[in-house]
Amino acid sequence: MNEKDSEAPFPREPWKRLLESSDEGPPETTDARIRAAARRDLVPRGRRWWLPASLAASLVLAVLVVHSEFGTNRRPLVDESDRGESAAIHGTIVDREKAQEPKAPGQSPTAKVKTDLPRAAVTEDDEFGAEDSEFAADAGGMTSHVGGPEREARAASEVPEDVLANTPVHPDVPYAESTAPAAPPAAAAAVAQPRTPEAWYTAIEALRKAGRNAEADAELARFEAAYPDWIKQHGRRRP
Amino acid sequence: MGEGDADAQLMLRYAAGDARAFDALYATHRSALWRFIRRSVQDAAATDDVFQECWSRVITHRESYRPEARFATWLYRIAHNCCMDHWRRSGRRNKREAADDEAIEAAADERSAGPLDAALEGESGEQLAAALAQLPQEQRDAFLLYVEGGLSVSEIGEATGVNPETAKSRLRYAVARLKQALAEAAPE
Repeated sequence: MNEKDSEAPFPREPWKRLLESSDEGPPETTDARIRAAARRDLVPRGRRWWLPASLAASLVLAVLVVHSEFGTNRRPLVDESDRGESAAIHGTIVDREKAQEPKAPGQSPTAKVKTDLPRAAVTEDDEFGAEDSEFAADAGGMTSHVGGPEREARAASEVPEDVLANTPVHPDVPYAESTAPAAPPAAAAAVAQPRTPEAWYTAIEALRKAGRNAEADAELARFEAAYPDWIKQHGRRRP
Repeated sequence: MGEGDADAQLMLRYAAGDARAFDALYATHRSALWRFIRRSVQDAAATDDVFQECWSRVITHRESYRPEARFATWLYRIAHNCCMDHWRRSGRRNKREAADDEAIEAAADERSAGPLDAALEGESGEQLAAALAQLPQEQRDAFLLYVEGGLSVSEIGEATGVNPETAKSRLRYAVARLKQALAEAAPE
């Protein structure tokens, strides 16, 4: 009623009283619905994105976790792009199977390597343990060296006696205990002790004096093979 | 204009998050707005839908309300638009036009001939509702906005998209037709 009375085309009140006499109004359910909508809409709009945003974030997180945990397992075991790598793995597996098969003496790959190498080199590898490392075999994937201590013991037992006998041994280089062939206790004591030709010669003389001529002959043969002219040069006689 | 309007202050409080302000606002305008829509739509079943749609727009657009205009002006403009949307959706429009605009014009001019209260003496709300139903849509809306909504002539023109002179002319035609209809319905 902000207009002046003079501008009003006609008075409202008589008409308004007549209209209000009908006592019309919205049903109570409509009232309740509208009031509820008014309150519901007052929920801060800033919070409305919380639920969908949190759900989306949870979903993304779950997908990332699943992918990081199981994503690599979903790759095919043999892929075209990994053909070379898988071939290497296959080769390693075949070598493992071959290594576990019983072999004739001297046919083991490890034994072959050992026999091809100078004894000092074999000993050095054994000391560092690199050759026997499981990790070295698995990580490289290209080597045929498998096994650990079991393979070492088996390889040592596979080395033929004659190979050991024909291998030039320098007295200054001691035998590795793990690869030393089993020898008779007395002979082993006699052979293991010498460090110099003089001591070796003395040990052979002791065997001769003890009546163990067969052993003395064998040791003498080895001694003369190692030091052919030592007896003559030192004016000794053959024990 | 609306700074001192109590309804405008309630609307601002509701826009700020006060639900009780909306309750007070709703209680003030619910009956008059319902009657306005009921008379404008002329469809009892559609009245409830249009009524809820109107308040829904009030709720949705509460933050766009500016107290430059009176709250009633804003509210009934929304209600008028809802009624227009209803007419457009239903594809039905009150095509009843004045049979004799000149006679109506003359009747409107007779306003000063006698007191209005005397003319409405003995009439009932139902008779007025029936007479309103016979009015053309534009005249009925103008009349209802003026009486129920309390809008001024210029506000009616603003709400209905016409100039104040056209709004004032519609009001005069509406009153003349209503008086004529009520006089015809009155017992001899």
